[in-house]
Amino acid sequence: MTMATDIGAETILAARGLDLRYGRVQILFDVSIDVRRGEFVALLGTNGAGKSTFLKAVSNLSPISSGRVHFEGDDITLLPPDVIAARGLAHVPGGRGSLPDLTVEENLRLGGHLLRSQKGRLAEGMARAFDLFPWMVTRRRQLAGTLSGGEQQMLAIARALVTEPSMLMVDELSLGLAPIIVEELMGVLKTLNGQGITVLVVEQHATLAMEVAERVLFMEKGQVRFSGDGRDLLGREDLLRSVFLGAGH
Amino acid sequence: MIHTTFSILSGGLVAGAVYALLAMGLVLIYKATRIPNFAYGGMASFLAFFHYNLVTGRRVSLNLDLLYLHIHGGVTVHLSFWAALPVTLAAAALLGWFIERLIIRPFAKASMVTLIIVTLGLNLLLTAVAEQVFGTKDLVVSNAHAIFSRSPVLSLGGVNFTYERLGVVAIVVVLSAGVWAFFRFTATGLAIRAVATDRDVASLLGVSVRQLSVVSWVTGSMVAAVAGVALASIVISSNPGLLFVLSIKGFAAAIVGGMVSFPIAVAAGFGIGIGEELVRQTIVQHDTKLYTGAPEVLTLGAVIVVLALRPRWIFKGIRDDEDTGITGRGGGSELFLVRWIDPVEAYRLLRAAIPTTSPGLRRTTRGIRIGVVAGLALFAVTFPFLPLPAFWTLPANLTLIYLLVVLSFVVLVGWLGQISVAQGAFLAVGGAGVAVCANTLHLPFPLPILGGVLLSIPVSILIGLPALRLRGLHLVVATLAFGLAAERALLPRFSEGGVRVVLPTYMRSDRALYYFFLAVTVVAFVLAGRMKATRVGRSFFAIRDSETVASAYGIRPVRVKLTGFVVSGAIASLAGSMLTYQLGALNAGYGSVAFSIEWLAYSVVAGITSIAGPIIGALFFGLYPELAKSTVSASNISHIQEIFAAVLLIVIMAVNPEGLASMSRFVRSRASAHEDDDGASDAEDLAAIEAAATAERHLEELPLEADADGDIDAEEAALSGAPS
Repeated sequence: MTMATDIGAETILAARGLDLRYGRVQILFDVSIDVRRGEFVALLGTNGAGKSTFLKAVSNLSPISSGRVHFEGDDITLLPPDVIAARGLAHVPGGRGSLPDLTVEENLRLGGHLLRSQKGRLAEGMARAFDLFPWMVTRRRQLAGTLSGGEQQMLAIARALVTEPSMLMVDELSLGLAPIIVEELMGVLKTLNGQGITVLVVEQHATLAMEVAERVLFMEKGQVRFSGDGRDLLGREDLLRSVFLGAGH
Repeated sequence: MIHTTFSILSGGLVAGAVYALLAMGLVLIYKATRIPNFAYGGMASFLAFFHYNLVTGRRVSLNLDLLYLHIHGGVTVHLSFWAALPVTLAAAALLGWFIERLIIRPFAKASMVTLIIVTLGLNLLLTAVAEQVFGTKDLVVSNAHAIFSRSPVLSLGGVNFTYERLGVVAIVVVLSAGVWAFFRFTATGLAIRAVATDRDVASLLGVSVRQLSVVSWVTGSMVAAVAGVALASIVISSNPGLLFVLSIKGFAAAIVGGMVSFPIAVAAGFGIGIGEELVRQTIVQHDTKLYTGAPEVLTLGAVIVVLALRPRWIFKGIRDDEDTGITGRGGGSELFLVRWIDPVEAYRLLRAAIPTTSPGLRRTTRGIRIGVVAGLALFAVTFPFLPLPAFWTLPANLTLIYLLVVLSFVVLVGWLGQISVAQGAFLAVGGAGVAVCANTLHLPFPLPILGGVLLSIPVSILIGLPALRLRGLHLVVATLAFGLAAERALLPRFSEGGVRVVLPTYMRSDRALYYFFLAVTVVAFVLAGRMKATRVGRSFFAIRDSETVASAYGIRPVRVKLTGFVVSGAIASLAGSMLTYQLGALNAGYGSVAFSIEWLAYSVVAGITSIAGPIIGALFFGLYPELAKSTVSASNISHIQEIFAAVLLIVIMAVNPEGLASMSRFVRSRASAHEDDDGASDAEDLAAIEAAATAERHLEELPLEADADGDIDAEEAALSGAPS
């Protein structure tokens, strides 16, 4: 296990030696992932490789059994999810992450829950979200459950941005969405990244992720098997075969 | 006609306001925490007692005599109604905080069934504490202390509307508007709505689930205080039992709103109130006697219809984890008491102290086990000839009856995984069957008992029908409504009219009756034990652990569930038949919902899955209290024992939901699990996987092994330290 002593100043997120199990089933095996400030990283892997679980482990939705997580230089391993969010690490959950019973505006207002005592900053944050997706302005009173899948995903991302996080983790960005929508969303993430937000995105759509991301991580069976440039991953047939055939070795 | 309309409006609005108020507090807590608070009646009652004791200036004294500990103290405070209210609200906030912090938080990840039993236990605890502190007399609110004046403010169509009644309706309307605005416009309200939909998503947005839990319990407790104070004033004379019954109607209203919708719950509360009044006015014009229990039957009907239709709005927010059964993981070891008396640590210390791999030890434990069983058996058989005081006779016979009551819970809750609080109704059914067979049909002695059992079969099917579609919380509310309807409509018709049954002369001696009861009980236990080891028993366990997996193996849930309800109902009605002969008539106290809940709690404490559970339960919670009752004069009964039992229940649910009987097995499995797993294993989906795996295991146990023998061997192997 790597010890968390060598975290450089440019590293925003450092997860070291994460083990996670559900009962007797181990999901993550000694997973260590570092993300540098301002980086755009895509986390790829087969179904059940542990990508989503890794994100949940980082935001402490699923408690890990060993390992450490550092964010912005501080140890956040044992902090509850809401405190981690308050430190500026936003996690957009997979699937339909928006809350269907709330309106678009209420979803955004909830995104600004941490700013509830600072009216000015809350209004600014909501205005930023509306700027990012102008269609939301006219549909602010609509229930989120009645939006299309892509729109719900946009809402979930916009909602996470209200509090101006320094890092955004997006789970299963493309789940159930048409390729053209996924491309649009990737474009949005790229823009946000350009504005200085560090992005870690979990993706199934490998080729698209490789195009956009600066660095690609590949997970298989609860372990990180590759970290580097997307083009180098394309050369690793031993790994990619498992993506396309759905089988290991 | 006009008179009737206004009269229905007057009575119905007030009753409806009360139900709405109770439903409001229930929804408030459920929305933020997913906990169905069955202790709500107990909280409201406790706070009402607290308030009116401040107002009347009665001396509140606490007398504790526990072994060598004697605490005697008391205070006399005298405040006006409105001066006392802030004090009561502060006490309510403190109570809510206390409950959340000490009792609820450790169960944050527990299954729905565990939560239901824990809050029912909390209700027992609050009731017992209230009786210990404030006395057992009903709370009577005199005109001078009523919340608003009881003089009429206006008269419509000859019906007087008093300040008190209109005032309470106004309070409910204002409070509803306030709560609605709170959810609509405040950040905390919005956060609670988000948590109600998706806890994880909300916490990722910075919403502190723990903080919201505290907020909702504190405010929910304050609403309970308002409800309790207003209610006690309106009904003039009240007690914890009455408030619990009323809170069941609050539950009925809350369930209509899916436990999360405020406006629907409040509207349903008013609807139930006005509906009941409508029924009352209509029936009373014909025959007052018919009215007995009619409102409860109406509530039951409404609950069943709403739940059976499963409208989308009720079930849209329901997640799978609310349907998981009673076994599976416990509340967790976070309960601070449990940290001090961690059974795993205790077991390790014990293991370290006792030399391992000693054949002598193995012989000793087996010897102790056989000794205890043989001793109990010998005691049971020779009991009537032992030189014991005469007052032992009744407690001994009642203990045999309690054995059957607990056994009926074991079959239904422990084996089949269906939670029902209508078992008391079966005692009434058994008694009613005996009365009809003996007095109307003039059947000779043992036959009326069979009659009671036969009568229970259609009733079991009736109660079992909702279970075909409902699980967890919804099933409990349906059976609560059923039990309440039976208690109010069935019991008075058989117990008040003085229906007496007479034993034949040859059975009138204490010894004859005792041996007859003993024989019946032993036969019931042997049959139940046999059933557990057969295909039927295994299909029960399969249904309990995962209905989906069981169906995949070709088990038909409908048939298995109804079988379980019939078997359990037959055992309970057998107990009711025996009880009726023992007491000479049907006793209303044994058929009540309160009795059912108490014995469900005791059964869980004793061990709800094991055949040894009933023995522990009946001895601890049946024989011992009955003996104590026979020796101590009724006015002097301390509630310490009830308090102790309720606390024990909550602690046991936190440590091991399978109860005392399986404690040793549980501790061993925990101790070995700890070596490679740090207990960080509360993922819900995994619980489902594990449940499915156990269900499959039950189905694969094709050879008919004697379950008990297997257990004993495994236990000894572990105790003597053999490698596993």
